[in-house]
Amino acid sequence: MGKRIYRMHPVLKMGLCVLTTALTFPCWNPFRILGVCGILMALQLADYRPGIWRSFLIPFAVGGVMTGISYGLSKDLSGSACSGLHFSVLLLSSFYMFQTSPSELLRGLQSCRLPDQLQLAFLVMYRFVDVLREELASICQAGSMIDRKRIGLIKKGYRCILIPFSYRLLTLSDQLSLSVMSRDFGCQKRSNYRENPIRFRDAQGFLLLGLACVVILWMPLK
Amino acid sequence: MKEKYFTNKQIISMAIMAAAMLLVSCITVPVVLGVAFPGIRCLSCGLFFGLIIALAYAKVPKFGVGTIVTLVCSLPMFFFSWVIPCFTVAAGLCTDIYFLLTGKKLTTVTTTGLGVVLMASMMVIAESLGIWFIDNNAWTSFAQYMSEGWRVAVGFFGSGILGGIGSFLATRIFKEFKSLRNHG
Repeated sequence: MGKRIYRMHPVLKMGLCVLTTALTFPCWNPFRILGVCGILMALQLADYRPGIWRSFLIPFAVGGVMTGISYGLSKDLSGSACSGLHFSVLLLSSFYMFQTSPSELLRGLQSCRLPDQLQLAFLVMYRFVDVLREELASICQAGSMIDRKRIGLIKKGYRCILIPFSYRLLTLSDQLSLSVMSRDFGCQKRSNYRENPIRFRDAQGFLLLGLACVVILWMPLK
Repeated sequence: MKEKYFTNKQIISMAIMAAAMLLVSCITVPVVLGVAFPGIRCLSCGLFFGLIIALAYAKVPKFGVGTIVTLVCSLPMFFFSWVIPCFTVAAGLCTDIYFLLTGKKLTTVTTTGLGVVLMASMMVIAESLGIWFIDNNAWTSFAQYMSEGWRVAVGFFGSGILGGIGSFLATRIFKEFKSLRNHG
């Protein structure tokens, strides 16, 4: 397993991801956008997590497909490449942001003095998108065993997808609230809590990388 | 100690509903992204959004639920454009105002209205903001918006109706699982 060389503060990480995507969208030069992709890939490598190659492959595969479709429709190679790469940047920055573990994100948000309840809501939402995706996949798989012709498409959708999914939503929230209450969330100081403030090197990294993106995207070449 | 307006349990319920909304929009919106029709994104996820917002209000019947659920759900969308969180939260606020106007009573009719208000207001605000964002001129935007005619009407009524159907289904689901109704 690789080593984590540079780990940015989660809040600054989010800020950097928003900044790179926002800066890249007005740019229509494929080489410059590729430069930003390079920065995002280097950041992901520095903040190493297992399975990182998949998060390099998927954005470029999706971007390639989009480029192909755009080229087929418009016959403009540069424009099509840019539209595909815009999507790759978006996916790369999302994967980089989602490399943050829930506990890292929680400590990062706590150090920014955000209200406890807002942190909790954001954290639960962040963690449970994936859990719900798996639940939905299992529900759909279970539903595929019931013959559509026997009960009809609408009834099948209601009985085999909507009802089980709603039931899981409600029971999951009850289970999680019980777990949070049993741990006394928000009642007292955490016994095992390490402060994670925004350090100088985090701010320095954010500024330098933001500046690098600006230079790559807007520096006149001639 | 001063009691908070929302308990942790209610916050968790709202966050899980927000996660479900985000998941649904991540599945449905990319499918229709390339279709040039006003309100197509609201149409694609209207049924599920209506269902989920009604479940959220049934679980936590308080003013502010719509705004918080839409805010938490739309924060990650900030990546795509700042316009998305704006119109989503504005639609959530409209739903909250509707909930307040109904006297915070959740009958079958008022619950169905939650989905209608959420999706119809989301469609109108999203399209207006989108056109305004591109044109940067409110009057031209309005004229352009109105010139779309029946297409806008289909988007508006379609989103509202789908949201309403979703919320109506939520009332049925809650009747089927009465034991899960917990306002704690």
